[in-house]
Amino acid sequence: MKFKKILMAGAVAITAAGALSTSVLAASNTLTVADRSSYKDWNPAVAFSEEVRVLGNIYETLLVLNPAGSAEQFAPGLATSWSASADGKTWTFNLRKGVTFHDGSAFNAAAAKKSLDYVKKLGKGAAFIWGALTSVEAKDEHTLVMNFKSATAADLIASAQYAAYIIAPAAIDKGHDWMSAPNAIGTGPYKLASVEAGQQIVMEKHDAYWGGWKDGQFDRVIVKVVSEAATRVQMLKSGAVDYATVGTDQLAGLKAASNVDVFTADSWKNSMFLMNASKYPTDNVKFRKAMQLIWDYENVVTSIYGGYAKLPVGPLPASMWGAAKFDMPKQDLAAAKQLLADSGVPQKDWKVSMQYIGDFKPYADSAELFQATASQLGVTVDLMPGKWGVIWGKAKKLETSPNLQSMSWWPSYATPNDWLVSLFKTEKKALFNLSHYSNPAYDKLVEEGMAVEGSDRPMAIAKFGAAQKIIMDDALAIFYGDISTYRVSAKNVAGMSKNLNPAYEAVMYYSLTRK
Amino acid sequence: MSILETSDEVPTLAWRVKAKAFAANNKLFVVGATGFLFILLCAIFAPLIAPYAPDKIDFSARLQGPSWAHWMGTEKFGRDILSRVIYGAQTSLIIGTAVTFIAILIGAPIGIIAGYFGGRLDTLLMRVSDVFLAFPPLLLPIAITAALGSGLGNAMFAIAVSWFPWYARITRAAVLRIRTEPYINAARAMGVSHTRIMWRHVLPNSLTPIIVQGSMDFGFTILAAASLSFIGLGATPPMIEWGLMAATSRSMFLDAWWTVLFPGMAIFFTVLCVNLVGDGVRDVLDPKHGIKE
Amino acid sequence: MARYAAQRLLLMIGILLGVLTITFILSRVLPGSPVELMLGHRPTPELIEATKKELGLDQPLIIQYFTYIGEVVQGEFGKSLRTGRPVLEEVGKRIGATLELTTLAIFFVVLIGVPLGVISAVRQNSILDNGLRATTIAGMAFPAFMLAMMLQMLFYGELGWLPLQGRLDSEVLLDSTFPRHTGFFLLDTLMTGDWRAFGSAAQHIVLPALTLVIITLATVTRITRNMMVEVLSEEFIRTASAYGLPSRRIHYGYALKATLIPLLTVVGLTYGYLLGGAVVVEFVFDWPGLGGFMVFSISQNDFPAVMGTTLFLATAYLMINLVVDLLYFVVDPRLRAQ
Repeated sequence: MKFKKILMAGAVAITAAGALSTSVLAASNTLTVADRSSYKDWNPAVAFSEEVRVLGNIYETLLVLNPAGSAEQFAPGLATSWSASADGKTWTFNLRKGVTFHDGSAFNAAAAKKSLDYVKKLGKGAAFIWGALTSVEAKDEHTLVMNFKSATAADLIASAQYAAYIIAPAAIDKGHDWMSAPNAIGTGPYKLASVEAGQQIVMEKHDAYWGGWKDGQFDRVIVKVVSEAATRVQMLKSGAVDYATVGTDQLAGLKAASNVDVFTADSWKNSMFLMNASKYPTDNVKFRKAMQLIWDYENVVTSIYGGYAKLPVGPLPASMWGAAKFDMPKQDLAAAKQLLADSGVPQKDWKVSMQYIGDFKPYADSAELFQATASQLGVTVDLMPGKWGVIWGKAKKLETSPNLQSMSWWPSYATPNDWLVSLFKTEKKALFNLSHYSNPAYDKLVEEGMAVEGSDRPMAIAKFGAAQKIIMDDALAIFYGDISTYRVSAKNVAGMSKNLNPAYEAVMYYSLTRK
Repeated sequence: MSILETSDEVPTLAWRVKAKAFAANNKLFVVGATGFLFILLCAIFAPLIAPYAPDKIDFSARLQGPSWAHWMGTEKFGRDILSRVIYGAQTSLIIGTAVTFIAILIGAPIGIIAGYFGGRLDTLLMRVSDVFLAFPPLLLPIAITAALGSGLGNAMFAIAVSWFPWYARITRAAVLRIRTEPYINAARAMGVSHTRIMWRHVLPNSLTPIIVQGSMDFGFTILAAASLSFIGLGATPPMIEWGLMAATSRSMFLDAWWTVLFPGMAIFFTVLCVNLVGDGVRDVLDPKHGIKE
Repeated sequence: MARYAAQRLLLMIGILLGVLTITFILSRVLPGSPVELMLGHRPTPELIEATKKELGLDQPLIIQYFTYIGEVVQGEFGKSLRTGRPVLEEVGKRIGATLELTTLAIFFVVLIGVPLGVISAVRQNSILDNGLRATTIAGMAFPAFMLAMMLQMLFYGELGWLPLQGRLDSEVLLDSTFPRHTGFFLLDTLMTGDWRAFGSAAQHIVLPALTLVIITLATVTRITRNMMVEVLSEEFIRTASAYGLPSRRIHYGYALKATLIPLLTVVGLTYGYLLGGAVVVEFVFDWPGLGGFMVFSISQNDFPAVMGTTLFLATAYLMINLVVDLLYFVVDPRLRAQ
C-alpha cells in the first residue's frame, strides 16, 4: 500500500513538471508539426524524396510554378524576370536584389552559377532534369544566363522541387558530408537550427528574409518525428501539433474533429497497377482487360481513398495538359468472366502476382479488395507487399517481376511526356517500364510529340493523345485514381489552403500564421 | 465378470479423486485449460459458429461499431469482425503448434546428438546454438523475415529458427542426466546401435522437459507472430490472422477502436490461457525446473 | 576469477563472430538493391553501377565478408546507406536511449517482481497467489503494440497525465543544453540539476517503461515464486522456523538469498526480452533508440545500419550475461573456492 502511495506521489510530481513545460511552449510563436521519419538526403543537390518538405522552407528556386488555372504560369522566386531566346536554347534570368543567405553572404549570379554547376556536376538525385544544360554564365552581378544544347523549357526546370534549389557557396565549399550532417545554408524564410536524430528538426526564421516578416507568422518551426499515423492524428486532435501528415483512412475522423481543418485540391499524381505485358498470363490482352473489369473502381476511390481521389479519365491525370479522355472500364464481373473464358488462358492458370508498397495503406487495402473480388471468379491473386527498394528491384527484372505492380506517378516538371516516356516507352533494361511493354508504333508517337512539345503544343497533344489510345487499347494498367492533394491543420492556423499546389510537396511555413 | 468390473471401477475412482485434488491445487490451470478448450472448439467448428462468412465484403456496412447484427462491429470492407476473430483462432493455433514443433524438430536432435556423443561435436553444436541465442529474442526473426520477405510461412520459420537452441539445450541436459545410467551402458555393451539407443531410450526420457518448455513457448510464438505482423513482416491477406487484423487497422484506432481491440483481445485471451496451461503443466511434470538452463 | 573472466570473454568473441556471419548473410540475401534505394526514386543505370563499385558491392560475396570483418575489427562499421553517416555514429546517438529505457524497466521488474514472487510462494495456492500469478501472466499475454497504444489512449487521450511520444518535450530538447555524459537523460539532468529537463524526461519514459515492465514482469515473478517454493521446503528453512525466527527474516533473509543465483540468470535473460520488446515499444512511442532505428533501417534496406545495430544489441546482451556470470562468483562462495 505504501508503495502505491509513493507511486501516486511520483505521478503527481511528474504531472506538475509537465504543466510547467507546456506553459513555456505556448509563450513563443512556434509552429509544431508531426511528420514520419523518412528524411534522408539533406544535401539539396541529392534530395529526391520527402525531405523536400523541410528543404523547401530552407532553400528557394529561381521561379515558382503556380497551381493550374492561375493567371500566370510562374511566380518570381529568386529571379524577378526571365526570358528565352527565339530558339529556346538560351535563357536569361534577372535575379532578385538584396537577398542574403542564412550565413549573411549575398545572393548573386555567381552564387547561383556555383549552385547549378554543383548540382549538375554531382549528378545525383534529380540532377537529370538539367541534362540539356551546357553552361551557366554569371553575366553580371544580377544576371544569369543558361545555355542548353536543345530547346528546353528552362522555366519549368528552374521551378522544380528537386535539384533546382540554390545552395549557398559556403555550403558547397564545405561539401556533401557537411550538408548531410545535417547543415544547411539557403535563402529561404527559415534556417535550420537543430536536428535531434529520430526526435525533431527545428527551424528558426531567417530575419533578413527578402519577403519580410509580418505579425502572426511563426518564429520557429518544430518538426517532430512521429512514426505511427494514429499517434500523429491523436496529437493533431489534442492540439499538441498544428499540422501533421496523415493517411486517407484518417481523414473522415479528422473532418469530424472540431479543431481541425481539412483542405483538398487536385494534383498531378495518379495511381495505377501496371500489368506485365511480357509475363504469363498478363501477356494476354483479353486477360488484362478482364483484370481491369474485376477492379472495384467506385469503392476504391470512395472508401479506401476516402473520396480523396477521382475516377480517372485516361492514363494521365485529368488536370495535366494533354490528358486524353476515354470511356474508362468499370467493374463488371460477368463481362470479366467472359473475357477470361475468351482469353484462351486455361482456368488452372488464372493466377496473378500483385506487388505493392506494403506500408502504404491505400495500396494494401486496394490489393486486398482486388484479391477478394478476383477469388469470386476463380482467379487467385498472390499479394507481395514490400518496401519500394525491394519491390522495385524485383519488378525491373522480368524473371522476378510480378503480373501487377503498384505505381503512382507525378512529373518531375509539368509535362505529359513524363508518364508516356518513363512508364511505357521501350527500355532495353527496364527502369520504370514495369509493364515490360515494347511497341515501336507507340515509341514513335511519343518521340514525335516530345520533339514538338516546346514549339507546337496542339500537335504534341495530338501525338500524345494517339499514344494514350494505344495504352488504353492494350490495357497496360488498371488506372484507378487521380489522387487529390490534401492537408490537415489545426483550426487556429491560417493559410494552409495556399499550400495545395500539386507541384510542391512542402508546406511553406512562411505562408502560415496563428489566428 | 465381477472381478473385471471392480478392477475397472477402482482406477476410475482414483483418477477422479486425483483430478479433483489436482484441480483444487491448480485453479489457474483449470481456468486456462477451459479457455483453451473453448478456443480450440472455436477453431474446429468455426464454419458452424461464425455468424457470417469471414471474407464477405459489404461496403454498405463499412466500419460499423458493435451492434446486435455485428457483435464486434465491421472492418474496412464491411466484413464481420466476430466471424473473422473466430476463424482467426485456426491460424493462431496453427502458428503456435507449427512453430513449437519446428523448433523442437531442429533443436531436439541437435541436443540429443551433442549430449550423447559429447566431446568436440558437443562443443561445436552448442556453440553454434549459442550464436542464435546471442540475439535478443524477436530481433533475429525480424531480421530473417526482412531478408526472406513477409509471409506467415517465413515468419513461422524465422521464429522457429531463433528459438530452437532452447530445445537443444534442454534435451542435451536431459541426455546428460541419463547417459551414464546403467541401462544405457548395458544397451551399448550389447551392441545396440547409437541411433537405436537415442531413438528408443534417450528421446523418450527427455520428452518431459521438452513438453514443459513447449507448453510455455506456445504463447510466445503467437505473440511473436503478431509482432511481426505489426512491423509488416508477418501474415499477408487473405490469411485471417489476429495480429494482421489489429496491425492493419491501427491507424484507425481512434475512430474505429473495435477493429483493433477485438482481434487484440483475442490474442491476449489465447496467450493468457495457453500460458496458464503451460504454468500448470510445468508444475505437474517438472516442479523443480522453473528456468531454462 | 581472472582466468574465468578471460575464458568467458574469449567465448563471447567467438559468438560475436557467429553473430556477424548471420547478419552478413541475411543482409546480402535481401532481394532488391540497397543502392537503388540510396539513390532515390529515379537514378540512371550508369549511376547505379558506379555507386555499386564505390561501395564495393560489385565484389564477390566472400571478399565483401572478409572486408567487413576486417573493418569491424578496426572499429570501422561502414556507412549507413540511407544517411551516408558512419553507422557507429548513428548507433552511438541511440544506444543511450535504449539502455536507459531497458535498464529502468529491468530495475522496476526486479523491484516489483521479486516481492510479488516471494508473496506468491509464501502464500502458495492461496487466492492471493493465484490472483498475482494470473495478473502477471495476463500482462505477459498482451501484444506489445496494443498495450502501448492502449496506455497512450488512457494516459494521454483520456487522463492527459503523460506525453504521447518522444523522449523530451520539444522546447526542453531545444533549450536544455545539459551535457550528455551517460546518455541516460534521467541521470544527465539530475547531475546538472536541470529540473525542468529531468521532469520532462521522467514524464516521457513512464509509458514506454511501463509497457515493458508489464510484458516482462511475469517472467521474474514466476521464477522467484518457483524457486522460493523449492527453498522454503528445504531443511535449513524449516530449522530456522523451528527456532522461532521471525518469518519475514526467514523469507527475505535466508530464503531469498538462496535464490539469488538463479535469479541473476533470469535478470540476464529478461534483459534480452526487454531489448527485443523494445523494438516494437520504441517504434510506437518514437523512443529514439536502437530498436526503432533497426525496424526503420530494415525497411530501408540499409544493411550496414542493420548489421551495426544487431551487432551492438547482441554485444550489449552478451556483456550483460557476462556480468551476470561474473556476479555468480561474487554471490556464490562455492564457485569461488573452485
